[in-house]
Amino acid sequence: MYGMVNKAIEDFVCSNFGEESWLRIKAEAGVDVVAFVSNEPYPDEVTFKLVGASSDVLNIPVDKVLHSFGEHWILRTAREGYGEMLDANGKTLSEFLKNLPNFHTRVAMIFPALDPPRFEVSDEGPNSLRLHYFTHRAGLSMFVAGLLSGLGKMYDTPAEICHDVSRDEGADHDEFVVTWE
Amino acid sequence: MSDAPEIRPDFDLFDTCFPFHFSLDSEMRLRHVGRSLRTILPAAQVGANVSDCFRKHRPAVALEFQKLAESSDILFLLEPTEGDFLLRGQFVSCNSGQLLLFLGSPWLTEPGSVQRLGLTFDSFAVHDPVVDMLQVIQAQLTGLEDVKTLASKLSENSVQLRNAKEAAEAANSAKSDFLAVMSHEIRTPLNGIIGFTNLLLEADLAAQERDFANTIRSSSQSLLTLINEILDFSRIEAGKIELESQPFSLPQCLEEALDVASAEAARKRLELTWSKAESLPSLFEGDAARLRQLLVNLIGNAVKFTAEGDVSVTVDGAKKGLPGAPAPFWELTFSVSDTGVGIAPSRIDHLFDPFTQGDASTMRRFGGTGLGLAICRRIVEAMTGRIWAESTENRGSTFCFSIPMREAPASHADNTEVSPAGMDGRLLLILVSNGNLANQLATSTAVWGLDTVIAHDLDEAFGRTNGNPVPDVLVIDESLADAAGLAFVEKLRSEHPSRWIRVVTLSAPGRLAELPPALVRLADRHLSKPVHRSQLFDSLQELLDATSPEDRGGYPESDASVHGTPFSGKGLRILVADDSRTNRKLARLTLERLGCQPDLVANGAEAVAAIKSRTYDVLFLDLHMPVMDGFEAAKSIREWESHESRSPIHIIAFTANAFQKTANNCIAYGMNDFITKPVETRTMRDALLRFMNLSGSSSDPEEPSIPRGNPLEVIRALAEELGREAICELIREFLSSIPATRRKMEKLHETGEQENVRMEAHSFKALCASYGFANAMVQADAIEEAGGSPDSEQIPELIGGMFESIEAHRASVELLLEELAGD
Repeated sequence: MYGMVNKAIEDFVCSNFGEESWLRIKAEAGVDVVAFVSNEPYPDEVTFKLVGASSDVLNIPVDKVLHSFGEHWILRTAREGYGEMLDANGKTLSEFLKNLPNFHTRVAMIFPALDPPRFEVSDEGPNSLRLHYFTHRAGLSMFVAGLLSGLGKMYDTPAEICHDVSRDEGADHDEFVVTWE
Repeated sequence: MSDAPEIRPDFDLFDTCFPFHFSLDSEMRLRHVGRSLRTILPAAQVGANVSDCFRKHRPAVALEFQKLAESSDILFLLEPTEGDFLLRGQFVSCNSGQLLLFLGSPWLTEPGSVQRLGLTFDSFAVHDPVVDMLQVIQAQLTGLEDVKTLASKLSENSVQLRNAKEAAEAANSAKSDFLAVMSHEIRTPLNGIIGFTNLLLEADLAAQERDFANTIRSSSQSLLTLINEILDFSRIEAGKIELESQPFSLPQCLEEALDVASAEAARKRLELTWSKAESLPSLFEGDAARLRQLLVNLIGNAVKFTAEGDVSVTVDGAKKGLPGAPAPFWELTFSVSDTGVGIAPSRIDHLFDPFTQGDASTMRRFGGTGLGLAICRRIVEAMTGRIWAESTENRGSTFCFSIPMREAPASHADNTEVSPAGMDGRLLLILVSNGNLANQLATSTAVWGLDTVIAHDLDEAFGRTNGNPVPDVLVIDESLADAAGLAFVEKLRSEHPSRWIRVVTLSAPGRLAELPPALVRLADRHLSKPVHRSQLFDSLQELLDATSPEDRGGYPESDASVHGTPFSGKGLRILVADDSRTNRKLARLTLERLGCQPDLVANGAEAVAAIKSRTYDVLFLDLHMPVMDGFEAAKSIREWESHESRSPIHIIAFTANAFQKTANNCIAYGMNDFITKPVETRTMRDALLRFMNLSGSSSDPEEPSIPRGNPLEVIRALAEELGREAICELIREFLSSIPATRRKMEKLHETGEQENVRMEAHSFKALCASYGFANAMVQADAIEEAGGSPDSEQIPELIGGMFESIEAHRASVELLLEELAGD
């Protein structure tokens, strides 16, 4: 995982719970990294340990932690570093979501070691679409749900995210139905 | 022609693929404009002249239809009349030359420029890499920011670490200073306890009282050792270890280190030996005092933890310097092996940590602070070496350390490094059961050119002598010097009546009396173990050079000095250096009683000058003197002897401080022995006996020591021992000097000359001790201590107390002097 994800976790914890909590989480996770660099790859294990330790230290369930990370990533972390890029990816939530497949292909070009997820869009309607999420990493679907929820807030477009198909239930990928006003 | 169909995309698709295109007709008017170009350049309307839309361009090709039609392989940059961007692309001719098509897109290098121009990523063709490049730039910029943050955090951490390190060092330094101050403060009263206990032990005590007093003394001395170790450790911890580099003799350093443990080893009947690899030179440059401290510590431990067997020190090494270099470096490895209790494997790694011993019960059973090995490690590390231990429980331990050391130039060699003419080819039989000791002796004697044969028992000795060449010298160790050993020596001599077979006996200190008296009588020399190479050398050289006893009237009958007949120092050349006139007189009287005629000097500089101009055997050297103190004098003398290749004079330190640390310092400065004031016939005689390699033991029961608790008794005893007239004169001088000495000390204190107050108190303490003014002595000691501390306000009170305690005895002492003079 690239450092930007771990940075998002750090940013989320520091913004909401203070730096002390972050230091405790790092200690609990056994992660001895002074500061993450966004475009440097880190072992996936680091991210998963930080998520687990955050859940333990903050006493928040893992799914909720992941969802919060996702929202925070869109609304704070990515806005600070990639805000203009995000904005350029679409003027509306609908445009943005439809551009997600291209966006992630570009991410794969830029960060060759990331092995990013793949998105596909189907069932496009005027106020909804179905987003297909393919990844080799298990356990991050709630992070994606948080990202989608954050996007709705970013575009000031109330959106409902329905995790319609889940890998946890035996499917080969996750599917989210996103509905907006 | 290819069979492939013509490419004819419809305009919408073409516009999707090239959203920033435009086309020109032959009159250079816009005929088509892409959807995204219209967004960022509103002037680009169909029918507009191209020069109204773009004000500059590169390259400088004229904006003429034909010229542009011929420039399809040229990259163009067009600067629009509106907007802050450049359009990059190329012109291509199409529609059979009727139209010119410009294909390209905006050249953007800032991630925010897409939005600034009112575009989104959808404004660009999917194949256009400009968007991807912008994302790469954005990622790099973010990464750069992160690296800056990382650098800032690391720098912050580094400052915090440095601050923490400095705080820890300051705390450690404060701790060391505290330990040093505390140790000093504890030592002062402790010295009083030890001093008074010593005085008590010289009084007439019942057996149980003596036993109790001995326990107080040994406990106090253990406590003093502990405090001194803590003080030494805290100094080393505080980084106050400075290593010297002076030429020194490795064998001498080893011998001196073994000497320190020799009494305890003798008490436990342990054999102490050393050896060095033949390939190693003897002279090195380094800090001999610290090396000796290391060895003393390790040897002391080995002796402490060994109940029977032996303790051996070996030195090996490898040359590290370049071949032919004038003074190559050696990697010396010292190993101190014992046959003691050993150490559990789990404890080995922590042995060199402070306050750690083999196991928790060790401290209770054997005592000690657990600091000795930690001190060793710090010293070895300061010498850029390493230290380690190997051990098998109940079999013994070996403590090793390796240090680099430079070989000293041969000009510093002493006479034991060469082969003298008188020894070459002479036959020496070493009759010693301990293999290490036998090898130690043989290694030395081989260097001197002696043909050396070793026998480990009497059978082997008989075999070595039966039908073989007769030895010129036989060295026989106490281990084989029993009745059978005596019989062997007598038989050997009786079989070869025409040959002088010189006999040298060896025994541990204080055990000469255990040898068969007949063997002692027929021996030509006796040496105490550990045998110093220089002593062995001198003895062998003298014996091999000497006239045979037959020519002198037969073999010696006995060694009279050992067996109770009065000691005679006649013939010994002795120098006494002491700044106190009274002490010089006392020393002279005492030495005259021992048959010596000493020369007297008043300070270290005079002692150095005297030694350079005359040959002396022994120097009694006071440590605290003006002009040049005893330490400096000893150092100068040793340097001069080394430089001039002179035999070292035997230096006996002579001071009022009876502390082990002072004794260690004396040894470190090259002195050989140490006695404490007050001057006593017995202590001076014992010191001379030790010099002569005889028994340095203890008091002669027939010669009671002078009582030290009461000046009347002391003065009476001194008068009887050294002569009434001389003693009465000395005491009168002492009493008449009291007012002037008091005024002088008070004046020195008033003018803030605390160091001089200390020196005066030190000298005066020795006088008080000599004459039995015990209370005054203790107060002088307190003044000496307070003189170097911030608590010097108490000095006037101490000075007053000291002199008043003498005045309290004045009347009775004067009466005694009258009595002595009148008798």
